[in-house]
Amino acid sequence: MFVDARSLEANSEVTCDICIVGAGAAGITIAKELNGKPIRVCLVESGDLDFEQDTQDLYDGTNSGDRYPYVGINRLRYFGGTTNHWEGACVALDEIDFEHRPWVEHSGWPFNKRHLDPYYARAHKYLELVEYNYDVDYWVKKSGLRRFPIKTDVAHMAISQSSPPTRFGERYRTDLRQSGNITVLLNANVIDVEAAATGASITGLRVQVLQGAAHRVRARLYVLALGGIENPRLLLASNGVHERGLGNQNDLVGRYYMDHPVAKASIYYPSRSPADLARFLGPRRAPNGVVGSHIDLPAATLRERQLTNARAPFVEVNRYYASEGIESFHALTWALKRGEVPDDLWRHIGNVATDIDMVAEAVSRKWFDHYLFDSAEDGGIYVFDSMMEQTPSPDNRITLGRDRDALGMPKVNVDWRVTARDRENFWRVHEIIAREVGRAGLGRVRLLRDQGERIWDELLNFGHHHMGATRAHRNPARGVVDADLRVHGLANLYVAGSSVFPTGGHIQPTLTIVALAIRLADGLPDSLARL
Amino acid sequence: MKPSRRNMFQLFTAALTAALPLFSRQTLGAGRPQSRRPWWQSLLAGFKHPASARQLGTWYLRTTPGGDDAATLVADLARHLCQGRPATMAGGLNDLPLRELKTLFRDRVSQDFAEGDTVEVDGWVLARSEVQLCALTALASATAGSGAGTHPGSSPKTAQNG
Ligand SMILES: Cc1cc2nc3c(=O)[nH]c(=O)nc-3n(C[C@H](O)[C@H](O)[C@H](O)COP(=O)(O)OP(=O)(O)OC[C@H]3O[C@@H](n4cnc5c(N)ncnc54)[C@H](O)[C@@H]3O)c2cc1C
Repeated sequence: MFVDARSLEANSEVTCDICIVGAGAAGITIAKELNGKPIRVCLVESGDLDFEQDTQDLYDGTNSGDRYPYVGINRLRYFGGTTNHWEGACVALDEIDFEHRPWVEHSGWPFNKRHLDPYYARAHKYLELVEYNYDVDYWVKKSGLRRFPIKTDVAHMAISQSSPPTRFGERYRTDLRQSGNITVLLNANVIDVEAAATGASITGLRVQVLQGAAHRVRARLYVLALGGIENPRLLLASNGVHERGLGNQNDLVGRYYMDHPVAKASIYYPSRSPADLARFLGPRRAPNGVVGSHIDLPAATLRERQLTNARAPFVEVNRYYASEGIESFHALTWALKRGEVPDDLWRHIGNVATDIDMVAEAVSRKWFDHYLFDSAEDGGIYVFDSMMEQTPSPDNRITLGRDRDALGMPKVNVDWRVTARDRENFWRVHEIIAREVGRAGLGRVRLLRDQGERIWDELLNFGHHHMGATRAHRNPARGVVDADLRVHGLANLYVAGSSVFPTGGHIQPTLTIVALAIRLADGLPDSLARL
Repeated sequence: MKPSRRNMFQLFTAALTAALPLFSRQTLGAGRPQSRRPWWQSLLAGFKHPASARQLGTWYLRTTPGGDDAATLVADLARHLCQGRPATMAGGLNDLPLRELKTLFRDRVSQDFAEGDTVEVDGWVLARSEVQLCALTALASATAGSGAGTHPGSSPKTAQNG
């Protein structure tokens, strides 16, 4: 059943057994798992069934630290959440991502990959993926994808899958509407999680309709599934009893925030013809889905060389894209804007002069929206558009700012940086891949070090994967939630979503978010019975 | 005009499908005996895109202090190619048929990569052997350009090293 909170009488009280806050990938999965069970579930969603700007504005916030995407638009605040515009790339975390790696500070999940495997398999169905299998040989046989002939102990080909992408709000709307035990409360913004005077449990949620009435939801058990930035925001803002916010007795909520920096750090000039390469690298249609490939490093290499995880997917680019003249032109203007003289000034000037046709092409495209040279489109070059793991750092942090949103809640500030060590790690991964490509006689790789600092600034891209700010750890001194994703010190409050990830590997998070949501949902009836 | 990275791309790509990186099939025809020139000159003559090789070589020489002595470079490269093959070293690289020389070089390049014996030149991650050869080509053309009579690496001492 769907209920519009705007239609409720002021100060209504909605009661249920389990209240899930947030109808994105995590919240909808948990609700679906509880569908048909003898448990009354309320799924409280801030937005409506479609996008509305006023509601979206509640996501406004600021950034400090390194350049980072504005948090007001990359997440979506309506039914279905950010899956309303996600891209659908899916991979499971590697086994090593779950381990405590002594060379990666604060690494280690409270359980291992094998424990999560059955949930990953079930998550595949929600995301409309093909079977839970990432074995290269299997897909080589099944999809016609050819094995990129790098297979050594040092680097190897790995598989990813593509969801259609599943838009959770559309895909599961009917199931939830028809459910006998689930009420979806739309246009209901949770602005406070109220703790009992003892501080040991949650008694209710304050819900506010935009330009409208306030309500309360009371449940026996609560799950926050608001996304990786809103989960810590709501915990920090809920400070009626615990002054520093809920679950924040050890000053951990909001810290260890991570994303996946994505940098085009190297260009691969293959020795094979483009047609030949397409057979190795192109995404392949498998029965009921699509699989693709990338290069990454096996656990043994990561261990031996003490590296964090990273991947190098192949993205075909054209001559225009790989132009050194345009690259140098940007480097020059970037430096000039800062009143600096770039290192290697003459080399850049030389590059612009000798690649002047592509520079002219760029100017023409930008200013006159006109394409000059057909040769600019010549392909056959690949960029390793590389997504990297960030080492968790307590200084990468989500805090509450001074400004408030339309409902009076403090807005967030995201202080996000890539450490020098992570940057260095990234180059080392690319060096290894470059050597393997050369060793196998597959071409040569050029590292784009001459992009200098720009690679970590204006050229840097992001996964928009908001992880770590309510990290899981068995020890309350080191994590906000425990292995069951229950907030330490609170009997009936759970957190779902990528904010619980202690580390994020180099993979897109949603498959893992959904797997964890299923795992959490499996345990909720028992947890409820124990309360 | 400076060769662009696109030329470099050609240099390191099409030729790589053949057994020997950097060299065209025509120049290093199968089973053809080496001409009378020293072994390393036979290799140099095989560059598919000599301007790119020269450019890479020049970059390398600029950033490698003391690396611009051709005789030392040739000797180094010979030792490197014959690493673990004392018989080849003793027999002299000059006497190897082209096909074998080609295979030897290809294997060495691959081995360099496997051992991490690579050099980064303007961002290119290259095997030490191929970079040394590029450096030789740069030196050779510089000498030719300067009008010097003898080619730096064609000294009897160097040839014997091969
Ligand atoms: C451009 C883009 C591309 C992406 N592509 C990929 C990809 O290819 N692969 C991948 O794995 N991931 C991808 N992601 C990430 C993916 O979208 C998220 O991991 C996923 O949506 C997170 O699910 P969630 O349920 O935790 O949060 P969300 O989907 O964000 O859902 C949170 C829900 O909580 C609601 N909410 C928020 N605050 C309140 C409140 N106070 N009260 C009530 N309700 C509230 C929101 O309205 C929303 O519905 C991408 C993200 C972006 C931005």
